[in-house]
Amino acid sequence: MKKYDVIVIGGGHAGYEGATASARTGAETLVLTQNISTIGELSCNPSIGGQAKSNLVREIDIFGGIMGKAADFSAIHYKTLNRSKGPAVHATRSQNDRGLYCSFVRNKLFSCSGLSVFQTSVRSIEAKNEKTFVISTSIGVSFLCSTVVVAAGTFLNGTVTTGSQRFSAGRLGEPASKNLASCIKSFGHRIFRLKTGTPPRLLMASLDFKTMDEQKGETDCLPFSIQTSDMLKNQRSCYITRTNKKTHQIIRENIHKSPIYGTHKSVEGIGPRYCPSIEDKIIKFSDKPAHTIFIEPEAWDAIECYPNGISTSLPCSVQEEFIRSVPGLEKAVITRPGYAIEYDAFDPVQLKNTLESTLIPGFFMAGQINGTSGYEEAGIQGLVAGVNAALISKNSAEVFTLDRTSSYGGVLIDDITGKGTSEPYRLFTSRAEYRLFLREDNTSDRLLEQSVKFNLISPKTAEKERGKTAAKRTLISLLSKKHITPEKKLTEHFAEKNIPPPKKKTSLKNFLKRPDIAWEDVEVFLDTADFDKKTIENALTEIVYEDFLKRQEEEIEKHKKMKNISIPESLDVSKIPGLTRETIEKLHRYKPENLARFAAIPGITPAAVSVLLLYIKKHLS
Amino acid sequence: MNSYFDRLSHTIVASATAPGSSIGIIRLSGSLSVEIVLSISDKKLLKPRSAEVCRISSKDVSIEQALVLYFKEPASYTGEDVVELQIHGAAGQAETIMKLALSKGAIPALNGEFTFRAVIHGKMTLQKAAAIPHLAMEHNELALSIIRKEYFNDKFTAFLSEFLKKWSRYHALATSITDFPDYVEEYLPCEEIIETVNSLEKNLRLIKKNSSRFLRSQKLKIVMAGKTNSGKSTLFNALLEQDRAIVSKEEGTTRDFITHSFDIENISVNLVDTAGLRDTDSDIENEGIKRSCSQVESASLILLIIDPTSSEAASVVDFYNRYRKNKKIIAVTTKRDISKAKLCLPFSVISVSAHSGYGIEKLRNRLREIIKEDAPDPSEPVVFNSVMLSLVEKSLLNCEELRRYITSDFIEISAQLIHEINKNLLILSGNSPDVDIYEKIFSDFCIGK
Repeated sequence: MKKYDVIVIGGGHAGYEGATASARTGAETLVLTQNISTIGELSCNPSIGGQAKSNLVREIDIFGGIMGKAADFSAIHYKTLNRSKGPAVHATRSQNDRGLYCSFVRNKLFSCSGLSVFQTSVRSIEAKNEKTFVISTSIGVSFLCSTVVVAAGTFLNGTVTTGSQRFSAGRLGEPASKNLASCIKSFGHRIFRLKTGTPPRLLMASLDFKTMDEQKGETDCLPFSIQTSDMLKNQRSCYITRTNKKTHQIIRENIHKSPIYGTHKSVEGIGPRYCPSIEDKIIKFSDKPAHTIFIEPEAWDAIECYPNGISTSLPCSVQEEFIRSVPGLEKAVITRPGYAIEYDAFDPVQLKNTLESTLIPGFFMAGQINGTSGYEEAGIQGLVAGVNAALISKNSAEVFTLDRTSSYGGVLIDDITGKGTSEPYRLFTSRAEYRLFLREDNTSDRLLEQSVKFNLISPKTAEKERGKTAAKRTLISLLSKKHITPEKKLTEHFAEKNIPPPKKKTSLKNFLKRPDIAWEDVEVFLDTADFDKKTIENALTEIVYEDFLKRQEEEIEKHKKMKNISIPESLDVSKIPGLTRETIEKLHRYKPENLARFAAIPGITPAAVSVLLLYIKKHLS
Repeated sequence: MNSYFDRLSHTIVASATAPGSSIGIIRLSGSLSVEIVLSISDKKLLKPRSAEVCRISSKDVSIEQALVLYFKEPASYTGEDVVELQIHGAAGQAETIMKLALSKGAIPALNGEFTFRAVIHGKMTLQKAAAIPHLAMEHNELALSIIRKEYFNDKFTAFLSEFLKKWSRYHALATSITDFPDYVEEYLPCEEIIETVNSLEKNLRLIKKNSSRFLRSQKLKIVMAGKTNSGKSTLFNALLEQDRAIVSKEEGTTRDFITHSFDIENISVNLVDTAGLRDTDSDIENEGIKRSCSQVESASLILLIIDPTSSEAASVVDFYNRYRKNKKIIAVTTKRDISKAKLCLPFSVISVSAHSGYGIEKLRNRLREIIKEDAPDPSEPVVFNSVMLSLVEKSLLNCEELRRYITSDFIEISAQLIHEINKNLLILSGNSPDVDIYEKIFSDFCIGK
């Protein structure tokens, strides 16, 4: 029987990023998927990016991943969120053609060297000797591999509910995976039940767009991938409409039929608070007279559209009734009903920050199975798991990890593996302590060299990115050398613009830090013909945040020091004097790899941190 | 093993009373406290919160009869297991029993280590803890009245918690506005925030001013400087109303500086007499002059002593000008009883005679005035040490920046500043841990508290 280096189970966003990252790292990799034609499926909304998520896509991209390229390839509409706010919280979001997205991903997988794809569902995973897993499938064939990445999404014991109807499924119309979950559980991984939901899909032709607000795409956004050179010019619009009193009344009158709020509560999994169903919104925020619905076309030549904002698990007939009370949707035809899906996830604190199991060496899990939500969150986990699975299979001593001080991926993985989660975890900018540093415009500065070190990106692309950074540095240095003095001419120049001039001699760089100064106010003082618009923009961004970042550096250093003190797996914490029983329980449960992660566990006191530090320093070094 | 944190897993022991008191108290804190006391006494079991007599012995030789008190964690001063032994007051007794405890695995406590542990285990706020070394050490009536009030009223903590309630709402709002741009259409209530910032700033400024005064009043030093034989030591004795410094007609009698404390306006002040300044070949005297200069540099107030019979106006003015920018100076001409000669000086002087007492009361009054001007206001809150003061200063800086950014597009910078202010004030109010601050604060303590 042929033995693969790495087998990835699942062809979703964690699966395809994991498989290709593993292959890029040089491992012979096999993807097992229940259905080749749904590889890369956008199961929920046809959209990539958004707050913090767009940063993740760019991080995946700098590590040579697929998501950014697929999103640019299939985009039909772009928007920059938070445009009126500072660049650190700008976020790009695209609407995508579902079919194009999937076919792009599929083509990438089939053209990736060292990667094979096979369609079958997995029945069990057996850990044989060291670095040997036997994967048995429903068609009776077994596969051997050194390391395995499970990226099964919402398929593990998935249960779909609409109204009173409940049935086993991984997504609507696709079978759930039943044996796999109990197999992972038997390894000692703790299982918990989560829930998420999706709205009904509507027939485009049945909608009246004249009564809705049009939201045009924006052509001056930043494409997701550094390899996409041109921005999409002709874009497809989205539309906005709103629920009203009548909609809310219909939902309230039928709430007893809800599997979550109704008389027969059947759904028990914990759902995401930040992505509430329309029932949630009406029950919990009853004072709001209207809720926004975004009508998102699912393709260039869309037959169906995705009404974002009305995820629901009410019976299909009720769905139709309340939807038809909304302006523009009076004659809407539902093509697929909305539903809630419950699924098994595994407690991510039992994973290392490489996403390898702390219980079974060589066994990795990535994506929704770890209690996260979102394509982008899944993608970055897949990538990290894929690279590490490949490294281990190749007997490499290196590990590929992301740091929360330099990437959103690091924040995500550090959070879930360090603290766990009780609801589907979604990334927000506010989860990052250093978000003024984790920006869309400086992904290369943060992560390029790591990507080069692990051969995840082509030398040519890396060189091009380095050139961009160098140009930015040159411009910043020019700006710090060029000084302006408050003489008459200058004062007049600013008086015209109604801006208070500098009080004393100051460099252009420092002057630009003032929140009331824009580039246009100072460009006359410097010859910038050598620099393109993007370079200038990026340099300005860097300058604006410089002082705030300097202040954070000390904190980042402190965090790094703590991170460098590792807590060995073999350490018997019950023997350490001075630790409370509660702390010892937490150490057993969370198994932190280093002191920084230990300190981040909820309820851990600085006292406990120092006791452990002392012990490690004294006994283990 | 020097860090308070590094030592947390150890059981510490110290004498909680000064040597020579009629009762001595030995206090242990840490997981081994009970075990250690059982091993050096005839007790088989300690009952929490009850006072029992026990016999303490070493190698079967009975050495003391003690009253033992056991406070089981977390209901103790430090939050750890604490055992107190009340013994007889003789210094040797305490030392013997301490040594016994050390031989059984305890380590001697460092300054403030008991209180440090109390804060770490959430038994005490930082503000209270910072007041303790002052409560224990203070000889200063005004400072004591402020400290007692702060310690028992928590005025500062109350102010902070009121503010933080309001502030966390802004924090949450700034977060939701940036994280949910599609759904949250609200804006930051800029005017309201500016108003809150202004009032915070006003309070912090008061605290800063009062705390700086408080800290300065902790180390007030009046240094007497002048040429040799200008009568510094004679005036020094007159001000102290005692024969403290040696006085003679010979130039250069005072070779080294002499310090003595006395009270002005309920504030304890150190008065320093220094060696007179002149050119000399004597090594000893030159060393003395060097020391005089460094005393002058560190003075809160300089008494510039001038002998009108032998001084040149030019050199006096020279000295005055060198220090007047950074220091308060009172110029005093001496020997009024011998000579009424007046030097022509561009600043006012107080003329005194230490022998006749002429002008001494006037000088005292002037000292009182100057010290009162800079005395802390007991009705306003203070922070008790420089580390906490620097947090107050940082927050003031953040307030200023926030006012600048709040109306700009950079809402994420405003959010960051709101967050920083929140973080620093949480540390100040004792609701958030910060390793560095703890270490700095607790190294100021005296043993045993």
